[in-house]
Amino acid sequence: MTLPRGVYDRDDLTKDQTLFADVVIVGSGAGGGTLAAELAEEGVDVIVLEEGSYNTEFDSHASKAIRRMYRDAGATMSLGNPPILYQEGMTVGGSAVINGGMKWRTPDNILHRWDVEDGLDRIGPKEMDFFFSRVENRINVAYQDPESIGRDNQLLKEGADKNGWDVIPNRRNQLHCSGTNNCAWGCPTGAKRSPIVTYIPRALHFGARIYSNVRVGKILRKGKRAVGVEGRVVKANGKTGARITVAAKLVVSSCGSIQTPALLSRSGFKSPSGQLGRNLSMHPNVKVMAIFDEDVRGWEGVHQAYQVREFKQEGFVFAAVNIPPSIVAMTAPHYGRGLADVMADYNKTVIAGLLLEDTSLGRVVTLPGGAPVALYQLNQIDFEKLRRGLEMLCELLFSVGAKRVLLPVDGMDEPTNADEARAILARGFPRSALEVVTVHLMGTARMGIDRRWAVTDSYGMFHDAAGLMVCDASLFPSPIGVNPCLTIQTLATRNAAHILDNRKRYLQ
Amino acid sequence: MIDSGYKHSLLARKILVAMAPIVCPPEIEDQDLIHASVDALEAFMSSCTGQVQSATAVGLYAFEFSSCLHPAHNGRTFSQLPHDKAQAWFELWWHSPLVPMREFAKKTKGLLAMAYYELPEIAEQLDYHPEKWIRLVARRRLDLYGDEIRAKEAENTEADPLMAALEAHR
Ligand SMILES: Cc1cc2nc3c(=O)[nH]c(=O)nc-3n(C[C@H](O)[C@H](O)[C@H](O)COP(=O)(O)OP(=O)(O)OC[C@H]3O[C@@H](n4cnc5c(N)ncnc54)[C@H](O)[C@@H]3O)c2cc1C
Ligand code: SF4
Repeated sequence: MTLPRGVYDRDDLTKDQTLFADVVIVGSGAGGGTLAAELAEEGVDVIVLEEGSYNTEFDSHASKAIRRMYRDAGATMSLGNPPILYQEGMTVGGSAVINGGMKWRTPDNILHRWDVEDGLDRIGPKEMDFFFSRVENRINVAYQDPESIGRDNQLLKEGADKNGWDVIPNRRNQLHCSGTNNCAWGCPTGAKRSPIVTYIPRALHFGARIYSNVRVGKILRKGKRAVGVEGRVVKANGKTGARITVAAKLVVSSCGSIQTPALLSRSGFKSPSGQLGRNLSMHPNVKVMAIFDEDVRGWEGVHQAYQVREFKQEGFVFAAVNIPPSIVAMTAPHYGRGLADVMADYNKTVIAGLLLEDTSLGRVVTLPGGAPVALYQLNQIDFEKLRRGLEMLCELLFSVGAKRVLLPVDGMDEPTNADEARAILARGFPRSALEVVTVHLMGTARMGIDRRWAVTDSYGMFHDAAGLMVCDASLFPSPIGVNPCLTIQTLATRNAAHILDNRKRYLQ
Repeated sequence: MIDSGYKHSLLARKILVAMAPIVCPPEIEDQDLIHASVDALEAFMSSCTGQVQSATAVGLYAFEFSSCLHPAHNGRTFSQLPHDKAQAWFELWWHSPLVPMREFAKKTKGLLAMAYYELPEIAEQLDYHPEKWIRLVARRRLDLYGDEIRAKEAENTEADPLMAALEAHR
């Protein structure tokens, strides 16, 4: 593939080199990619270093996409009870290239909490409106065209309507999405306005340089000032290649909530708050498979066209999320003949998920070699909410004709009606038997006005170092209960304005 | 894409070949897809970290050799067992109260099943044709909205500096 002007990859980076820039950004995802474009357009000399490759062509081959664009082939687990499978993107454009495209503003009550409890500067809904609108406009946040919505999502909506539950159409960053349900493997039509078709080309257009296949090992320091970064090229066989050093006036860590605290820790930065790596939220997610008599063909149509908000106050929402057969087979609690029977009904299956605004808090610890490990223990409150959420989800699915529902609980019977589901779930089960996954990782370098309990200030500037900013999901002081990407991109835009408002301080 | 050139050891391959007809649909044998599935798994594992590769190998060897200790197995390893005994051995791990044994059974089944269900023959059998669908609706999208899409895409690199927009807003 020919790379666009301004992008370099492992084939170009065969020799050690030192580069200079005003700002070096580590990670090109929702936070880093957005920041790079906004700064570059204002004439700031920006270099982005990204561990993943530059990918722009996508198809429906799930395991190939996972190998190309997911960190550690998507096989990362948090340690705790239950262990939680989590996924991070690793590609130019970051996780947003492979995300589902749901784009919700941070709820007002959360912004209010961040304002009052965390003392964040100008974070109220009114002050944030400009930044939200700017991002929404750039990435085309809109409702789906009706022809893109498939039968699985219609069934979810019908179920919510039948029960009199609040259900709303999802807002997604798409331009006439055609409903291929391929978001998690990259959008094959270009309809999803992810960073790889919006902020990244824009950053390049305005002169930013992107070095892909470069893994940053550490941030360089002079005392308490960050002065640059040092990375190594990642060769195609995973081995380490040339050394890439960038000297810059401002260093930004946009590696995501798992990698950012590890990068800062292994570079020797400490936060007296003790919060670096702590305060990890995950929006735990559980899924059920409901088998119907009718043909559903969930892959013909967009996923998550609707969100059931009835239980938002209790902390959870539902959506229908079709998954390709290979991934269903991988996660289904069956093997052999049982697996074959379940899979034979693949085209009659609705997969519905529950996303929880968690109260449990985990943390990221950095191992002696510098690699991060996520520790997360699901607390009793959240466990109980997941159990109740599953009950409600079964109620919805049976009310529109599901014949059986497979629950994400190891060894659990399969209910064939809502009463059975309630009875089975009421019997209780060990936490370790619950299959929990997540793709929302937040909060490990929290913002806050006070350095005694926060890692960065209101704009992501590290409290206890100069020339160092964090700009990704780790900034969240708390989980937000809705999909986080729009909040991350909006905070990045706000951080860009802060840098530009204070050019003298940060860029001279 | 990271491709570390990972290859199953001969022993690991033997164990996976013996496991496939137990964890995947039993038809896998008649369909002659055992080796294709094990190969696909090998390609996948080539992108996993060294830790995942080693942990899988350790798990496979433990699964293979601990079988010898079972009184009913007469010292045979898992891959030497007849089908019914091999199946019972896998089930013992799948339902084990010990988390590492249970997790090994689940994860290995997960990987083999993923590899099997991604084979083109199986997609055909399930009547799962996403590429055909993508082609169809991608064309429909351009037919219906082509002009608007092209205009919006061109807008992406138009000038719109942040501070001027913010100033105007303030
Ligand atoms: C499958 C999936 C579906 C999702 N669906 C949705 C959704 O529908 N809506 C929503 O709002 N959110 C969704 N999310 C979550 C959302 O995409 C993420 O929260 C968001 O992209 C995180 O942004 P970030 O900037 O924190 O990190 P990322 O976007 O993950 O970017 C971090 C980047 O940094 C790079 N990096 C890390 N360490 C280094 C290093 N040492 N050197 C160089 N580069 C490094 C990584 O490779 C990565 O590209 C989803 C996520 C996934 C994985
Ligand atoms: S569902 Fe829409 S946005 Fe997602 S991959 Fe398909 S066309 Fe793209």
